[in-house]
Amino acid sequence: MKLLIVEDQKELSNSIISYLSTENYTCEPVYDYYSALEKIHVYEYSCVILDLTLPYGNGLDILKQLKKNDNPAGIVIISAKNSIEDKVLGLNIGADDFLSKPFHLSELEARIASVIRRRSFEGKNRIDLDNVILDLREKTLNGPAGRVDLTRMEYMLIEYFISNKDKVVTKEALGEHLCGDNMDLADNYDFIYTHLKNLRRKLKNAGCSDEIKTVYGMGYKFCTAARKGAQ
Amino acid sequence: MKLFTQYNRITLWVLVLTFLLSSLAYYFLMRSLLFQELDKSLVKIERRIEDYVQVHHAFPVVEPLDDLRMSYTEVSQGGSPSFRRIPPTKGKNSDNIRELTFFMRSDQRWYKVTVSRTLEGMKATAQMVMRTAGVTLFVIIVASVLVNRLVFRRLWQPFYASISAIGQFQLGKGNGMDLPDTKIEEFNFMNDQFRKMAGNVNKEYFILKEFTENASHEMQTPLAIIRSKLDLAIQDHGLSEIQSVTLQSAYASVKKLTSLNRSLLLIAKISNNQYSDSTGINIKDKLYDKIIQFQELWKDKLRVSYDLGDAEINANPDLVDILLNNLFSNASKHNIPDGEVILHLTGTALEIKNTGRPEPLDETRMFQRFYKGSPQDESNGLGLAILKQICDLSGITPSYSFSGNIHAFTLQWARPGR
Repeated sequence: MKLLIVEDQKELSNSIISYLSTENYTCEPVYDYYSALEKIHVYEYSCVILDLTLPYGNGLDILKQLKKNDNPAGIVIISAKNSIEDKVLGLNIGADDFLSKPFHLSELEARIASVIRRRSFEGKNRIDLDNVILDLREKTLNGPAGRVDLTRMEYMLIEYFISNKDKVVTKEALGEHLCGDNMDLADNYDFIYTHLKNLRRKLKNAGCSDEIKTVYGMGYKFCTAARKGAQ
Repeated sequence: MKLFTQYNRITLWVLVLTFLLSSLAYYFLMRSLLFQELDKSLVKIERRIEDYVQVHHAFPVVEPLDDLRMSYTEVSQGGSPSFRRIPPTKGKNSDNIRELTFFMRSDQRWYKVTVSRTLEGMKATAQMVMRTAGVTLFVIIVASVLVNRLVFRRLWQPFYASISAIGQFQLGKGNGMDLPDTKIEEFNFMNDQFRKMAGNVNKEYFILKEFTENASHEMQTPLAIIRSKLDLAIQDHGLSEIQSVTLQSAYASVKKLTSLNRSLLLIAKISNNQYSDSTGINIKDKLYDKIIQFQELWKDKLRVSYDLGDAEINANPDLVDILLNNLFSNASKHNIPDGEVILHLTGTALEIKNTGRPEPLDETRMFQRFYKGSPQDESNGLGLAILKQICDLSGITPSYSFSGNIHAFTLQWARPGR
């Protein structure tokens, strides 16, 4: 899947590309307004990651162009301008998601995955894991050992982990993902642990051989069976 | 003391003194005038006596009832005429007496003639002068008081209007001072200076606010880069334990910096009036939503009880959300293990109580930026400052009380008009 990264900060753009490239994404970076316009006219992308403040122009105008041309690409806005007007405006014009800087790369990846799922796989509401199938509509795990219902939090966790397969995800990123970044958690991540414990048990009960590992001092990692075999 | 009172006091003293002095001067002037008149009349009498003596060769007889007294003495030699004043004898009700002594020759003999007359009405004159002065003084005092009451108040009206306009002036509200125009040059000058000052202060304030907002914005990008680099760094399989710990603490600091920056930006935005539009909000529903959101955090750790009545508030929905987030976060963050959170909502007030540290917060400083309840406090110290700012903007009065290890925050607002 091809992604266009419209971000004038080269360092941030590089980080995004190296994080996303481990997945089956091909990322193309552009650093200014005109190159971005050129790219979207010539190529098709699954998703465009769009910064709003760009040299020579505004990201919102690129968004308008994409919408005018009925471009099928999903759009995730990343902006340092964390203002509500920008967010509302962006989403009204037709962006699929809005992420304010600074964000966790894992959060970005989860958002991109979710946008792409919603856009290009319409009707597809299941994700195949090793041995088990995650039903996105029913929010259940269907495996050889049977069907397991997930709570809202467990579902949010597994969806996040699947988007960030084989990557270390921090507690902070998980906490923000589950509660939203307006909630001041004050390093209170115990609740994540409770949900994780239940999710691990349910994965096992469904017969999934993928597992969520604890990375000491860092966070968690969803290790797929394929990768485990390779290691 | 008011300026007019001070001014009045001085003018009244000057008036009283002037009147006393002028009355005295008037009295003495009158007296000397009367004496002159008397002397003239005595000189006339002298001539009449001389005429009489020339014709009759004898002195005229003095009627004892007349106010004129005369005496004749034969002397050896003549002299020049002289006036003498005989002061009133003490204790007796006698008037001033003026006496003219002159010498005349008659039938080859010198006679010393003394004519004297009392100066009548001196007392009456003095009394009259004093009375006139007194009455005039009284009239002037009454008049000046009335003038001050009526005229001065009107004259100073623009001054008071300006002062009250300055009192109502709010920094950063964009509107200058509403100073009235007057016909009085001094007040116009004062108002001009005030307007200029308000303009400058407002300008500086906006520059400063803009700077805060821009600085916070500019910090977002480097923060985003640092965070993304850390996100990448932790993916490395070969990290040693020391490296992990190092990365972890870098993570924690970036997180703190991010939240600090967000809070500062929020404060800047609130004071830049970027959240000015308001609507009627059903607080009860909002609270239920928040309770559900926070249930995750509170589960198994805090006991929550609530008693929510219907309530509505006119405010910005985003700000109300932030406000409730802050209140709820504080109540859970600063709680104790197995603690309690109690919510109570009535028509125009929300009370949120929580168990917590055994000492009360410093009420004079708690709403200041970067206030921390204790040095170990890990929060950025901006939560309550933001709360206060939102309250100020939304017409909510926050208050805090502490009793028996229970910290209570109460928000009060006016019922929205329909």
